[in-house]
Amino acid sequence: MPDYKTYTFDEFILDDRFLRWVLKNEPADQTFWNEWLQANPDKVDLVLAARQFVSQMQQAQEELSDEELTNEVARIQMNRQKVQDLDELQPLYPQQTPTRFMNWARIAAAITLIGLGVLAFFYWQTPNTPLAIYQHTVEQHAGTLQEIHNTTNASQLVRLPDGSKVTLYKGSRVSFPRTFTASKREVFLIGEAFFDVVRRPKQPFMVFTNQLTTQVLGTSFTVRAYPDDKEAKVIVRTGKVSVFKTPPSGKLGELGGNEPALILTPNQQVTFQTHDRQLERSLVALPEPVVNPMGQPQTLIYEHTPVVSVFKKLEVAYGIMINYDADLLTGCELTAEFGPESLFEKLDLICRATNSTYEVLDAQIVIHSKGCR
Amino acid sequence: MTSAQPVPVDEQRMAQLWIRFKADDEKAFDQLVQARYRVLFNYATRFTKDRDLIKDCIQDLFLELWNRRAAIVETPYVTIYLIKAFRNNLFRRMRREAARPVVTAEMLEWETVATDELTVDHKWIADEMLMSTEQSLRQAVDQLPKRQQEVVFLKFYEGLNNDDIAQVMAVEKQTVANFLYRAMTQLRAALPVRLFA
Repeated sequence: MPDYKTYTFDEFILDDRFLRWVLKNEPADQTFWNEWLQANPDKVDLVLAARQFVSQMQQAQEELSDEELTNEVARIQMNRQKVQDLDELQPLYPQQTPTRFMNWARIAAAITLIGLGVLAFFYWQTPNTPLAIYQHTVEQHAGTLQEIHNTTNASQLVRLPDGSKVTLYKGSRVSFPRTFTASKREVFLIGEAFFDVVRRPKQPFMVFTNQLTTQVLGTSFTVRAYPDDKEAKVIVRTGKVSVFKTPPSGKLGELGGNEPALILTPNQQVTFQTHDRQLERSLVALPEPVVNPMGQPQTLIYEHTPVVSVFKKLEVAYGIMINYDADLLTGCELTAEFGPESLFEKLDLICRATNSTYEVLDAQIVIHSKGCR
Repeated sequence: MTSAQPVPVDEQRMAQLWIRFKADDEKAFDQLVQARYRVLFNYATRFTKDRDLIKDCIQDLFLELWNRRAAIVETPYVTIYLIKAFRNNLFRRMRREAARPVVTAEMLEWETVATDELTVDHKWIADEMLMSTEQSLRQAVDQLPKRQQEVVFLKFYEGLNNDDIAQVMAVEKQTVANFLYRAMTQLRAALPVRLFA
């Protein structure tokens, strides 16, 4: 075994056993590294920094949204069955694997070229804003559109055909078909609204705005996209949503070429800046507990409670990842009474009591501690 | 295929799925697709930004495996097998689709020579302050020459050891170490110090 005591940052992050621990989290490696850290407490900071670097590297190379993964796995499964049926008819030729719409795209391209002259004629009628494209495609597939424009001075509750609820802020507009198609629930928003979506895994719910597209299975969240604002926002209350940029033209609901989707969990928000077209994920200013949302804020009393278990409770309560070094915090205890303080006030208190500090990094909380022993 | 490391538990599970799907078990096959789709997709984004092409290529690979399941070898190193097979198919496909704006294997070689010596663009070091860590890492990796990006992916996403990476990329083990060394040097120059300590 190499002498890890002499290892530098670079040596750690390139070490196979170390990488396996961070990336695969296998039980054998967990045991090994936990024991090693306990025997070498002076190396904890170094190892944790290396660990964080590697997991951030892994995350930074993640380009596939959960939704896309689900779709593609389903597509392969479907085509496997098709090939199988085909196999039974013509046992010899498996080569004919179905491709996406690439061949179609080519044929379509040829037709487009031929039809170009004709198209030029119709150019002014073709939809060329996300809203126009939306109206055009939905009317083709789902039939008549309904638009609700909240001209009142208060928020207005709108019920969608699937039972989902939209709280439409004043001055905002939402469009949706009278009945959704079987495969998709598509809504277009101008302005701001809070969505409480009925869960239907087989019928994804999509909110288009001029800049952002939000896709969910069932959850609640706010979308803010006023036409004159310099930024657009999606704020998640419960569940999980993926957000990506709405393409300025072309097909709605398709991910753009190299634009990854951002996955948001509760108490996270994504901001889209109009001037540089960048998406930025962060924590909301005032994270709210995700469990027990109806009831009064609970009072929690801690007496000599290990601080790690307090963090775990907060993680669950707010649905926010808290990164800390559990070994280092062994021995840190908290005696406190928590009422309606905000999450950040609670963290301040815990940190003061345990000789630590915290920072918010990419919608997660990182605890830096010197330990209490 | 050889590997100095013991086979990780997760890989053992893959090997079992592999054996089962060779014996016509559809469920095992679907599970394998689910478990290994991500790594193949993310790996391919190091070579092309054409997401549809990548998706087609992964589908073709898996369907081909399914069709030829009786004939394919048994292996304890499923992930490496998949990555290698996929790499070949993807490069072949990208060469065929040459009309599309993609990077071919030849261009990769060329680009390595052309950009390896380039220093980092310092402009976005300042921008970094405004970006999240994930974004700055993403950008820093994107700035690396393609072959270094590939090594960095196999190392820090999938955790392959240098022997396996050498095998996948068909280069010497020492070359892998060199690529990694150069990649780390460039990343250090491009990223804030706080990430490295």
